[in-house]
Amino acid sequence: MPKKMMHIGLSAGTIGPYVLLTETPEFCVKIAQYLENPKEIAYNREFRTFSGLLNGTHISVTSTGIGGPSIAIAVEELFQCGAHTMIRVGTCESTSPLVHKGDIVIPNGAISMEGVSSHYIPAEYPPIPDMDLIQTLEEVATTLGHTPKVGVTITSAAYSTRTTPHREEIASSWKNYLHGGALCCEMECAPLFAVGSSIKARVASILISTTHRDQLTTENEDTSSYLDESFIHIALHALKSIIEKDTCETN
Amino acid sequence: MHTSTKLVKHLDLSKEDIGQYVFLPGCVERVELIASHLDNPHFVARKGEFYTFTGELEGVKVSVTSTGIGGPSASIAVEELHQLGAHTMVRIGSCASTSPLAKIGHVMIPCGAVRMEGTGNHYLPLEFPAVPDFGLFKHFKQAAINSSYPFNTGVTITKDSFYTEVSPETKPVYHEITSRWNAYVKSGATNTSMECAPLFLIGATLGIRTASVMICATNNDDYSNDDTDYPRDWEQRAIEVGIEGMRRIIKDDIAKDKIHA
Repeated sequence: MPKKMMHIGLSAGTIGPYVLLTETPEFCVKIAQYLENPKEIAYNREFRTFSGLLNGTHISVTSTGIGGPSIAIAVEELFQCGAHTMIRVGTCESTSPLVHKGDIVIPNGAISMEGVSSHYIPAEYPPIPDMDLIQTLEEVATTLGHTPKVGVTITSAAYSTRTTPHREEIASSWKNYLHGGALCCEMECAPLFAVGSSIKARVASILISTTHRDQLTTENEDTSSYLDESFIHIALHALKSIIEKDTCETN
Repeated sequence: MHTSTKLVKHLDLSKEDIGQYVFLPGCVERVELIASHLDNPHFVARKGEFYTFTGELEGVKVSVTSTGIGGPSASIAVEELHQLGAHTMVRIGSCASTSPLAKIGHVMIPCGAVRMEGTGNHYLPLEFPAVPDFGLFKHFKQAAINSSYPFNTGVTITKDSFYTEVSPETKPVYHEITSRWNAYVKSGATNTSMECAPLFLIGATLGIRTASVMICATNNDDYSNDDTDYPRDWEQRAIEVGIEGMRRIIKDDIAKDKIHA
């Protein structure tokens, strides 16, 4: 009897090799509706997992909660259960005049303003996703009529830093990142990329911006409305394409 | 359920929904267990990893809100609860032993936390020590003494990476993190968990009283990520000491005229 993972509550053999990662359990449920025969197979803490079929291939969707610590746990445990390709699907906020509300952003690197990555890779090693995955994500988003932006994201461990940094050093680091052209900010990419490189899982992220640059998300705005059918469509279409390419390569 | 339209973004709560005293478990499953010790507990909201119940202790409103795993989500919970008026926040959780002084079933009340994490840095520089409110710390220590459960008040290592603890040898930075970890243990850390340092530091930054009460889930050098080893049967001890300590704190605040029951 394979052991059940302590946090995600799954064992080897229960999930597909391809997994989409969402921040919230609610968005996980939403994506699952688009799979064939979706079934909830675990729900423990912030980690909710559905499995189903996509063009006949077994895939899973797992929520990871907010932040690096929980996504690192999810990725490690999913990998131990047999996942080799994991793509985070979520929102971000713009930090660049190039990124507008509703734009798709595909990071090709992440700034680590958080504490997980340094437990995996040295500071000078870049937290980066799998290049083939992001190329496919970019191609698919373009085919579906979007103009995805590919660039560096700021991964911050504290949500309030993007609007009201508590320390001068943090405020000036943030300015430097913008000066370097950082496209957006969110809370999970750097750890996701660092863990992926470390354990040799293919990882990437596709994000939708909920703001224009210099415009804050208001308190009562429901940003989950950006995680709509059209965004889910890009993610699933990209996954189909990735699976097809993998199948061609093994044949 | 909400009596006001002004809701905070992630927790989905309004000012009237919560008390000024809040318990912060990491997981949603522990919320109802803690809330069952309150008078008149009732469900308030659930969004993502943030699940809230509110009830009373000593006639005063007390809430329980889960934070999810790690500093980033915990910092969101603490900041938003603070915006809604909470001034006293206590983590109730589990930890693993890093010392022969900490055994399975011990109640752990850390006097400080090692900042092996990335959230604290957004609030205070590294040289600022992550320590709980001393008044709260003393009340929880007394509650532990009264409980007769074995307890320990040593420093906790707050780590952002669970798998750094479980399988450091698989990480590219193995040598670095192992030598840092050994230094923390040699310096006296008795246990490890994942949220104390950011909690204490945000408390210091925003003027919130914070503390932590945890159950030690392992014996020294006995790490596991197998679900069968999760300390489901022991966490009641941490909850009991947490509740008893909070009663002491509230009674003390009433006596000092800080609140009116």
